[in-house]
Amino acid sequence: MNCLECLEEIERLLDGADAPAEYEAHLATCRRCHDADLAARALLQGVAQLAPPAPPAWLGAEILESVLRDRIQRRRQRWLVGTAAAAAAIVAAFAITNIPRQGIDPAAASVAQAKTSGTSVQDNVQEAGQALADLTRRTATDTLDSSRALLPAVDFTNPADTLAAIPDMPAEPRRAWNDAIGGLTAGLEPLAASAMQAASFFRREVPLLGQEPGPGM
Amino acid sequence: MADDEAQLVQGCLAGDPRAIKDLIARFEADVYGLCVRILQHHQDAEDATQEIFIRIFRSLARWDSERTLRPWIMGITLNRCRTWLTQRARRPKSSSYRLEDIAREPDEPAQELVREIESAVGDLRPDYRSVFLLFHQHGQGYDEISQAMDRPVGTIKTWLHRARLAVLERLRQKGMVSEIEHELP
Repeated sequence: MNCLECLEEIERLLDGADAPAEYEAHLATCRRCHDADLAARALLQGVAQLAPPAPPAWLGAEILESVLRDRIQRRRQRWLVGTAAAAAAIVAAFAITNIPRQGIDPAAASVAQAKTSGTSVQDNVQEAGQALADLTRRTATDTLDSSRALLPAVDFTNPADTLAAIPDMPAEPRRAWNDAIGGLTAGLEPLAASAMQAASFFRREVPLLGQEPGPGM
Repeated sequence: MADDEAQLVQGCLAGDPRAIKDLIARFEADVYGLCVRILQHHQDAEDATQEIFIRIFRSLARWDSERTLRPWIMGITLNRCRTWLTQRARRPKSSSYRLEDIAREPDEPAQELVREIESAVGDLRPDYRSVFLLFHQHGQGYDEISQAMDRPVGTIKTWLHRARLAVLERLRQKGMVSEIEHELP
């Protein structure tokens, strides 16, 4: 074994391999390689005692608490995002299913466009809420127009004569008409109220999603 | 080992508190030990260790079950320590308790040797220091270190060789080893 081979063997020694017999034989004849071997063994002896510092006793519990807290926070964030998306989808679905026969309801179209344009959840919910309000107004207007068709032509220029000119409706048709009006109002009211509540809720909660995560993240 | 680790990871992903606790206990010492040696600061190492475990559990679903867990975790540890060092370099230096600032009584020769090696390792450039510690202190092989550091095995061998030379040179300067007339290959 020559000096070059011996020095390569020293590198393998540092890797934890055993030295062959000819290595020891060369060391006995070469002072330089002998000194290099001593240096390598001193290094190995030192690193063997270089124990990794032990963590403090409290660190494990602290880590566990941080990890569990992070899981809860991320789960809450996912729930908020999922609930916002579901509510927006419900409102949008209601708006879309009430598309008039003549064509696309511009309110529903604006909601769909907002969903695909990458606008924020808050914007989408506001759009959906506005679409619902527009739809409610249109429904009320259409109802009023339809009701006028049911009444005979009346001259409304003279208020005093107006009341006298309005014929009395038969009791049953009047009740049926009142029931229809009441039913329409009652039917739309909870939906409008829910949509407005959802919009208010997300206006309060959605800003939390934009905040930076907590410590250790 | 691979099945055991896969089961452990599945338990953690399912939210089993015992599995989470078990994984932390299994790797806490390694992660903390590496952080202390790389960051050279006890409090930073404690904070970094907590951050690292949060990142580990956030990324656990992306762990490749075909590989062992340790190199993957050590890789996350090294990346976070590297970022920490970069951020710390931008901050004003503070006089906090670095490892070497603690005054000590003169040690026995063996302890003096260990202290000099610690000091020499602390002065290594971060990549060399990481490789040296992972190999000599954490018992990781070249392949595992290569995975953890995302570098070719040849690069890892070169860095380890240079780290050893630098440490030996420090020991020679302190008179703890004789002059090495041959340069190690």
